[in-house]
Amino acid sequence: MPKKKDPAPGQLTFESLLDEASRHPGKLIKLPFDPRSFGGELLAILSHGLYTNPFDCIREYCQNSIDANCSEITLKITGNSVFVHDDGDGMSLEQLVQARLFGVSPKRISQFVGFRGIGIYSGFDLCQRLRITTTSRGDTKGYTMIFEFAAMKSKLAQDRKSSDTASKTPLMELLSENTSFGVTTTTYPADAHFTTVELQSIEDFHIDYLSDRNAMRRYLLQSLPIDFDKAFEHRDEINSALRESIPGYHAVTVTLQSDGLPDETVTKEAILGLRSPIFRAIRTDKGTRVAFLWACLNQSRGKIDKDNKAPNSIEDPSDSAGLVYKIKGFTIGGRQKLRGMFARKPQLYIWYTGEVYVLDDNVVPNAERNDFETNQAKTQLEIALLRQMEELETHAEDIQAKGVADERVDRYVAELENIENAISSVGHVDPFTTYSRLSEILVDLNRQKQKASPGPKDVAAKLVARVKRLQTELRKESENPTPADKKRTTSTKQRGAAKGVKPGSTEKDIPLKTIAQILTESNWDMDSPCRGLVDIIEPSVREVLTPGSSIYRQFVNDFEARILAQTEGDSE
Amino acid sequence: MPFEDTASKAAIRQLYDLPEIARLCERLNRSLAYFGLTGPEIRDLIDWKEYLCAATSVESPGRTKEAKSRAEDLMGQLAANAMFQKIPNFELLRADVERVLLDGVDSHGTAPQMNDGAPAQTMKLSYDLVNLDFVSGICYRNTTGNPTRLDAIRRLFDRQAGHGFILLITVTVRDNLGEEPDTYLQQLGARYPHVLNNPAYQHALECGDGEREYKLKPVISTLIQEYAETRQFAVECRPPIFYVGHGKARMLHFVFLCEPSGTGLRAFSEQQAQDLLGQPLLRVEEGHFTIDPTWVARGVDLASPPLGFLSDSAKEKF
Repeated sequence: MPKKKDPAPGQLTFESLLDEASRHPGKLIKLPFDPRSFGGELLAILSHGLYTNPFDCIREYCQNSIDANCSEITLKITGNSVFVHDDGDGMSLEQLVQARLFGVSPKRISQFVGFRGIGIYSGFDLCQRLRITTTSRGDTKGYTMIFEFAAMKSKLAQDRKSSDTASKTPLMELLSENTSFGVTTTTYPADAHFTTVELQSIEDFHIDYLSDRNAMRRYLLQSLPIDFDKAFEHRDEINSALRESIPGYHAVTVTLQSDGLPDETVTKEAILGLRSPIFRAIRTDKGTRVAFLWACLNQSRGKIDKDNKAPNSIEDPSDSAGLVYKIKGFTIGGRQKLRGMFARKPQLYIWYTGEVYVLDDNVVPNAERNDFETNQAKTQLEIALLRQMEELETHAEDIQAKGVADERVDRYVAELENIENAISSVGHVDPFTTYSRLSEILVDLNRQKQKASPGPKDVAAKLVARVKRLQTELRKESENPTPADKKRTTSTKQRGAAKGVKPGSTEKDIPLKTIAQILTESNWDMDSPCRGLVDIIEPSVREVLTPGSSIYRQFVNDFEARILAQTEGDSE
Repeated sequence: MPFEDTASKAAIRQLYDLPEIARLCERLNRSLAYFGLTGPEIRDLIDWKEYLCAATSVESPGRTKEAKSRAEDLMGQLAANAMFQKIPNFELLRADVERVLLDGVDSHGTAPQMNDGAPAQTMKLSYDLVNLDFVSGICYRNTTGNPTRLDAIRRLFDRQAGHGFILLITVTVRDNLGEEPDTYLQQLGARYPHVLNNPAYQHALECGDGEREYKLKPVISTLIQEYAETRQFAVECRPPIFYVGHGKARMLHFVFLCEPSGTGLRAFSEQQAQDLLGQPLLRVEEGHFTIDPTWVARGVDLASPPLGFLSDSAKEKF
């Protein structure tokens, strides 16, 4: 039978408590705790299973680096150690000693997210020994603190085998006996400041897991406020807006180092061909700012995809299409999560890339970090965000309509040239068909003029005048036809050249669009059933109407006009 | 502690080695890949980092439990310093450097980063700068009687086959070779009789154990030349430097410029045995260089051809 330990001096015994309570029946007595009240097992309980994968543990140390105002973090994997080095403020000896304490961090939780209460002991489960080296500005000494986790774990394992409560190692004793500090042999320049955390003797299995560069890169991009690549043209503008609007925001770069592999700097990769960023503060009806978003629309009308890929990029830009929630550097959920907020034209959602930084502390991520916990704050955020997303959607629609209008005006320039050439040649126009077509063009031009960009708008105005003139000519021609020999002065060659047709070819040789092309160019949502239908209709039309025939040409032009009218109707 | 710096050691790194490194960098028109014994303070890497694109540092992990724990701390400090100094593509191998060169991998099975991807035994390396800054002598026989360090240097030339590099070797004059350097010098004289009249040769033979640097200077330079030439490297050896290091350790520092000859049989360096013997011994004290008095007595000065390569900044320190 293990010997019962004597109570420490000043410690209240069960007997004295009972005596006190007996002397004052009915009175509740404060029940004091002493340092022996907390078994060392508490550390194991707090840290065990805290992280579902080793990246989470590394992230905790990175977060602490960010909280220390660093701009660069180096993650080095060498042998069985992982180093997290930052160029943050570093720690004085006093701060280093403070850092080993539990749950007494002076950090404001709303502003800082590292070391979630368990502090420096985050790596207790992952490694056998933790070593911190640090120096701060104005101090040429470096300090090091070492935690012998292996010895602590071994002691706790021994304790578990014993059934005697009194022989369990108190937490304070466990920590005191296995924590040491010293001054480094290296002296540093007075302006040097950094902290290096080394997690030593990690199991091979975990080292292999952490050594997966692609997985590590994606994890970090998902979990930390990583800076944009310097090649991203809107980097400074977005960073500056985020710094201004998001308390405590600052972006960092992370360099990955592993033995035998070249260094890699992790940044949010540059996406080329984006319009200037849009910034919006998201406010509730009461005017409370609950989030802040930035979004960039693709310069070309279409989704963000490989065409936006910057040289030297590793990731596919389409992975960055859409907007994503961020909360204190963490990504919450994926980019598809907000797609539903583009209710009218969800296909326009992936024309954007951007982030929504949640500022309301009452909006709390769930444990899986794929959504927020359901509460009133979340609902208010979503309602407020929806309004801004509708605005983004409308903006994209305007850009789409403008682009379509500009293209249409361009096309009419060419078509009118063809009609003019045809009119000036005998036998090339059917006055009625041509007049009708001109009427259609006129109607459409007047419509596109409203939507087109300034340049094409002017062109459209001029085209309207040209169409009217041509219609007048056709009317006159039908009333008073010109002798055929006068018209034949224009050679076929000249006509061909005017149309942009190769010498020797005819108008019939100009390829007509397919139904699929027309739909795609109009940004029709070509989902699977739609594509299947087109695949049936297309050959049927070709079979019945014979490609190259005037009726086929007429069908294609009519179909295109109807689709465009429908698309515009949608956006209006 | 063996890795503490001295003014003499710093002067050698900055005024003697650095200009060679800069010249090689300029000649190759690119930064250099480093392999060597940096020590936890990585002073060599700090001094040379502007010329480096990659660095592989080797540190012994220790054998006893206590030594292992101490080594882990040193390596932690080493890696922290490398990250603080932003040494590019820095790699830390855990093993005795001899084992890395002989086996091709460290105790974790990690190969030096500048390898050709071949299996460890046949792996070739392509480092531009190899700094073997030993804290003991060139030759300590292991328990089986093999001089592991010399085996490793031979293997280094095998592994670097076809890739020119600067080899820096620093050793203490202590070893367990006993009388072997004298025998070596005598046999050298027998093979190359023209060295017998060289006053440096005679002096090396005559001096006692308290002046062992005079013996080891010709032994090491001719030995390394031999190793290199039979592995198709022509070698140019700079005048060796003697200095007193930390803890009054008597040290010798060598710089070998190794160029692959492209031949299949062996290379022949321009420097002959008598050239190596005749090279002046330099001394550094408190950061100031001097020519060893015995050479000064023989009329060697800064204008002498073997010292023509010295940079102006180095000459100013004479």
